[in-house]
Amino acid sequence: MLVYLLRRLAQSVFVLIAMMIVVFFGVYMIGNPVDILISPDATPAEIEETMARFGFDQPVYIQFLKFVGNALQGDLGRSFVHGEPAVQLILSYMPATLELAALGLLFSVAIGVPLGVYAGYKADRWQGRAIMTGSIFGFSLPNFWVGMLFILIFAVQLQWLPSTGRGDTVEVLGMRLSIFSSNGLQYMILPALTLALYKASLVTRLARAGTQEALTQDYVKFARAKGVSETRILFVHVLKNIMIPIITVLGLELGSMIAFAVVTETVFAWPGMGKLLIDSITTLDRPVIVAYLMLTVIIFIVINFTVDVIYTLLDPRVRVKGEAA
Amino acid sequence: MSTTTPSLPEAVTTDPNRPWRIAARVAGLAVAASLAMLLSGVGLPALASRIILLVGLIALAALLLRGKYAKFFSGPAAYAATASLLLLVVLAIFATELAPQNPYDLRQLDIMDGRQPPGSTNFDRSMTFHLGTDEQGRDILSGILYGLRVSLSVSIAATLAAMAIGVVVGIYAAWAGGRIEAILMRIVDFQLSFPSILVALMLMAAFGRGLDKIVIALIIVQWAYYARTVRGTALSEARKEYIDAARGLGLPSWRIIFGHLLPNCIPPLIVISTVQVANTIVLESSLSFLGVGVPITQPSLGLLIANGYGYMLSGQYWMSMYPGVALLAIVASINMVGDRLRDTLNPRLTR
Repeated sequence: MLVYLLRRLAQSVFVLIAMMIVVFFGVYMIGNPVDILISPDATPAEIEETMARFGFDQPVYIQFLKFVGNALQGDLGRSFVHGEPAVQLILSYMPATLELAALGLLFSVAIGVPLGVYAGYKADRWQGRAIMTGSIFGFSLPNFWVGMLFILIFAVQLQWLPSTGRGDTVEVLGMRLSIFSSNGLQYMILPALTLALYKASLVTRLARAGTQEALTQDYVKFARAKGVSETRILFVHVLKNIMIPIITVLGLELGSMIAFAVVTETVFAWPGMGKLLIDSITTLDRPVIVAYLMLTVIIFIVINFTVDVIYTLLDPRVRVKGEAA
Repeated sequence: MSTTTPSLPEAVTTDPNRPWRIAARVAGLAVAASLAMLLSGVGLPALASRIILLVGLIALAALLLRGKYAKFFSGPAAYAATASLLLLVVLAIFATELAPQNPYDLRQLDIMDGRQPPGSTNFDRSMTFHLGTDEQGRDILSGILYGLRVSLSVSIAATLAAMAIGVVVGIYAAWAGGRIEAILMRIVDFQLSFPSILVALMLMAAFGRGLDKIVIALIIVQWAYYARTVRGTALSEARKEYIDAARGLGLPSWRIIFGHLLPNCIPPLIVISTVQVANTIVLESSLSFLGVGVPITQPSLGLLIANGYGYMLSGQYWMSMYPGVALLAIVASINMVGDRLRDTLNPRLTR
């Protein structure tokens, strides 16, 4: 067990080093690093200072070690546009993305589970088939297009909800969050729904498959024989049994929520990491792009590592396979 | 599709599938030749090449479904999806001939016609803008037809190339086994652990805009998926008797791989790649919407939507709404046709 975990940890570290090499050579070999890490309108003194800090006058391997050293200390250059260190800038935009992703996950469960359970219950009837066809749309509709449609319907035509921006925020644990203020929550509903739609389709399908399987089990027959109402069987007995795989998959999908947030945030002008990334790409704010890349890689490595560890704890077969390989 | 059976030489001449196989090759060749002529601009006139392309594509589809039409067209939804896909493909192929104006020929545009609502006419009433105009006086309908062509060709090209790379890597991994297989599959696992939109976004941020660049980015994000699928198929196919038979005949391994293993790994990919084309269209349009996809001179549907997006809040919905409807139509019809294809060709793969 410990051997497996250590090996898995070593792999993660290896991936991180590999990514650093890719980023380093991508940044340093393709473009002139001075252009990439120093603002075009920097003063000669600033250029000198940054050159010395990154050691551009040194041989390549020393440069790489310096890059790694600086990266480990969270120094990936300064944003040209905002003038702040890039890593801190992204971290300050992160709470907005995380709260959006969290609300999106909540929505996807709240929409997907009841629909999926119902579709599993009426699997061969038109209701079940209609829900499944609908979930194809949830899978195939482009994220930005759904967001646009929501804005057109709920913000422009009906004027129920605000279209873009973030609204009021409340300071909680040192982070500015809008999920705790009613005005801020209004601004969050449309983007979170847009972000949730794809995951809601996924949850619908998982819940349907789980329900279909669960309905054939003895405990359901027994509950029916006892005279428990169908609603109670579905939403108490069956639901408890199908939630574990759904929660596992959603945990896995948390990382892709952050990725999809890039599109959603751009549509709704939501000031999160994703919007920052797109703005940085358009303004050629390269230190921020590099920092975003490194941060997301770290996030994904951590997520994948955690998932693997949890799987190993839950399912001994993974462990055996991993040790055999 | 053709299936290679371990038949003896004299049995080959009586193979009932032989004429169909030849027909499929002719159709494939016609499609490839007409595409080459369209891209290079030499040979037959463009209209003739386009007709050959369309006929060739229809013939390929008909041969693919040969003998299974009843199963494929099992309900009204299948007819509707096929009809709408066919219509959209015709519109994309003949965009030049069908569009009321060439939306990227600046001489045909008049800034005075900018942001006209659907149904309005231009100043001398010589032309009606059925779906309105954008901020530069460009006919939205013409823009959609050209955009449809860009979206479809970028996605199909990227999907086919990714499939080719994935097939080679997957079969090689399965055939080589051992350390090579382990390393290749590790790379595949690593790549698939990142969401494709994020990888594509990063690549485009590094490459910059461009048709060729977006095709390359879309190939890079997709090949690993095919490699994994093909390796699985190839592993199970390699254990079958016809491979043993081919080995027993003393065939060299390249002939076993290309003549026997590869043709049997392709059929499951047809269904996957149909759906994958739709996913690629979505990915491409998302990237173009974010401004890191196709160049402004050759907008796809995603870029058209992005261009009109700024005007939507002021009620001028048509600039991004109608390209959006076209995008929805193409993605939905490809997905539904793919769904029917899966049920028809590959009943083992269920949802």
